[in-house]
Amino acid sequence: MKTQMKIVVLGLPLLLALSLSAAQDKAPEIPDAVKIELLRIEETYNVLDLAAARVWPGWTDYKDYPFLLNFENGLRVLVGHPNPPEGFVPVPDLKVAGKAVHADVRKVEPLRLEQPLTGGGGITSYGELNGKPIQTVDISLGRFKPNVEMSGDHYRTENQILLYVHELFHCFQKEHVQVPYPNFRYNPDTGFASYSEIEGAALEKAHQTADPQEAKRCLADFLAARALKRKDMEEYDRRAESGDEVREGTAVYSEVRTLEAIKQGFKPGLTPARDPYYGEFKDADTFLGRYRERLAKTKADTFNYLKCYEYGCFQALLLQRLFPGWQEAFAAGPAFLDEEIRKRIAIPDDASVAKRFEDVYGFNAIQERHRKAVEQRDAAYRMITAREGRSYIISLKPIRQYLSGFEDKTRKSWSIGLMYIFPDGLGPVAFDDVDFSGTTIPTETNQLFYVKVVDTDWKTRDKPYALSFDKKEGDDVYFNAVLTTPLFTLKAPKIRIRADERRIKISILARIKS
Amino acid sequence: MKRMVGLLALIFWLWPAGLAARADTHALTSSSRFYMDQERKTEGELWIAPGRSWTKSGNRILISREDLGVMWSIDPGRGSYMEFPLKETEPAAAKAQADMRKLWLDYYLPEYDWTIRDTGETKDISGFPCRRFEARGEADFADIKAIYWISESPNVPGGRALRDYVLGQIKEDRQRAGQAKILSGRANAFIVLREETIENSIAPTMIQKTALIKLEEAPAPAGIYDLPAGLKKIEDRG
Repeated sequence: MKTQMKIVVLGLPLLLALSLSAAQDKAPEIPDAVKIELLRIEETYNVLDLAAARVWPGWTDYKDYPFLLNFENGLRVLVGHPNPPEGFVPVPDLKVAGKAVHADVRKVEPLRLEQPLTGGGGITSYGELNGKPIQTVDISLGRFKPNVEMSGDHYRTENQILLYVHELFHCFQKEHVQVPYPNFRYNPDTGFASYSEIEGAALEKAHQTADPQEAKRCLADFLAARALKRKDMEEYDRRAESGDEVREGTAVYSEVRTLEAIKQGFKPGLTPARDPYYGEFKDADTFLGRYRERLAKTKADTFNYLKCYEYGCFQALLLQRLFPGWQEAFAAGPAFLDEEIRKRIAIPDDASVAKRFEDVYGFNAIQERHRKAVEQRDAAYRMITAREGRSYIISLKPIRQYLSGFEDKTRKSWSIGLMYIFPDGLGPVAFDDVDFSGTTIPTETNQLFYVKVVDTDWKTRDKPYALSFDKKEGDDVYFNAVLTTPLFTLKAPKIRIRADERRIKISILARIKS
Repeated sequence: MKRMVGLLALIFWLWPAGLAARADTHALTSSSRFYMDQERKTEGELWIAPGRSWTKSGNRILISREDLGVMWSIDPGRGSYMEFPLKETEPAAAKAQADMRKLWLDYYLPEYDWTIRDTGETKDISGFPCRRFEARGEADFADIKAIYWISESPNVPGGRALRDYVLGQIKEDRQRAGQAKILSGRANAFIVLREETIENSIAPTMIQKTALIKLEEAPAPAGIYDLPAGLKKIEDRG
């Protein structure tokens, strides 16, 4: 099904109507797109009624956690929250598996929501009951992004349901699959990237083979590559990396096991008539195949230090296949997947490893590829951090718009953590009523929401920018603004500018003209 | 002679008691934090003596002991504690020499440029005459807006100790560098009320307020700077 980005701008009356209705404590009007999303949560419960026990022994609490849905237009919806924070009002005619629905419409922009909506998020403490924080599945939902669409990965409701399964498993982890270490943060060097690719290739081969002995041989390769990769790493980093594999890997494993359970026989509760993007998991194999594709793609990525999703998942799948009962270790307390494998499989000696890595995986070519990439990344980093002058920083945080949806993936870029370096500049970015002209100057995007460019010739300029606008509010907020700088032009319905001699910060405060 | 022996004995017995009764600085605070639509209120208590401190905030207790080079973070509810070394922070390595593997640019540490403004406005808060300062910290991907009500009255019992303690606590804290800038130039200054709006790079806006309710010099409860017996030590995992 070809999806198209749909956006319909509504007039002010709806916004006023929503605000008024909230102010009067009347039930807010909930768009159909949101109702469909609620049906997906209900279908997630239906899926887990079938699959949860097969995913992990004792997983029964998946209906106990509230959902907070943050929509692109500012609408927020709470499902099943025992004590909704101020601003949320009940939506009495809506229930999700018997659970109450509340909405907060105070910050709704006049942007109509239409499916397909896609999301991401995590677990957060939201609100309290009797002094105890409430663990909540916190999801941000936006329009299906064009660059995802271009890759041929069409929107499917099943992916959204699997996302909800994933997040609900994170809730289960809190008490049952403990991960005592914080997130792994590491910028790969040549050695890390090379042995990391061998780890991934070994997991891939182990998963592909039907021969248990061959699978165990490949898992031994995985362990050997891991030992070599971690030779120069601090103990803390090693544990943080393994911890991430438990945290994210078992959550991805929950998706795969859910799909495997569905394949055995599943009765959908939701129908395509109610959600046109839902295929009732009839092609579960297609979805299962995606996890293998992701592993194949991720393993070769030089700069991805967060391979924990795929590597953790496939370690868990192989433990399940080769050593059923492996989850018992996690019932006793914190445990690591790689350590569970290590308990069952010996690491081969160094001499045989080097030869096998070259013969089976082509290690030297892998190492050379990563060496070149790391050199280029480091050069790009040195280049961008050496640029001194006047900085222009554009923030999309106030409108909760991630930049990743708009970056031109065909442009050359390098990543270090959340910093993306575009040596030849960032192309145009346009969405709703916001228009960034793009620039050919080296540019960084950072911290998900920000664009930064530095004007090294700033001393030769008369003024840092020219600004036209319809209306001004306070000292620094401008409506329907056109900001022209020596490096780029930005048009937006509402911006705030804070400037000193060396730094111009522009926050985009609205995406739609009101 | 008998009387002299009796007096000496009394002094002997009183001397340790006199030591225990040394006046330390004692402060009570009231804080609130508004984050993700939720306001959390916390009452705090602080004891300060030379080289040691005891802080209770909500359910957590922190004891700092310079003589032992450690700080204990105690969770009385769980009967456990963590131990951290107290050490001078090493100067940050220059970027050019940084290990690229550990250059965690996703763990963003804002480098704020601070602007401080003395508004000249005055009022009494918790019985202290205060002066209002505004501070703004601007970093590339974060900012902080703060209001500090500062008392500069000389000879306030505990005032100097509180100032020095706070300065010691915040010297490496980039988010508090605005406070440090105000306090370090004023020998008698201590903060009576602070209100900070913190706009982090990714996380939602956080608004936090802390008010000093009471400040005095008083004898600290016996053994308050010691690690309570019977606690289980747990590993610090960052």
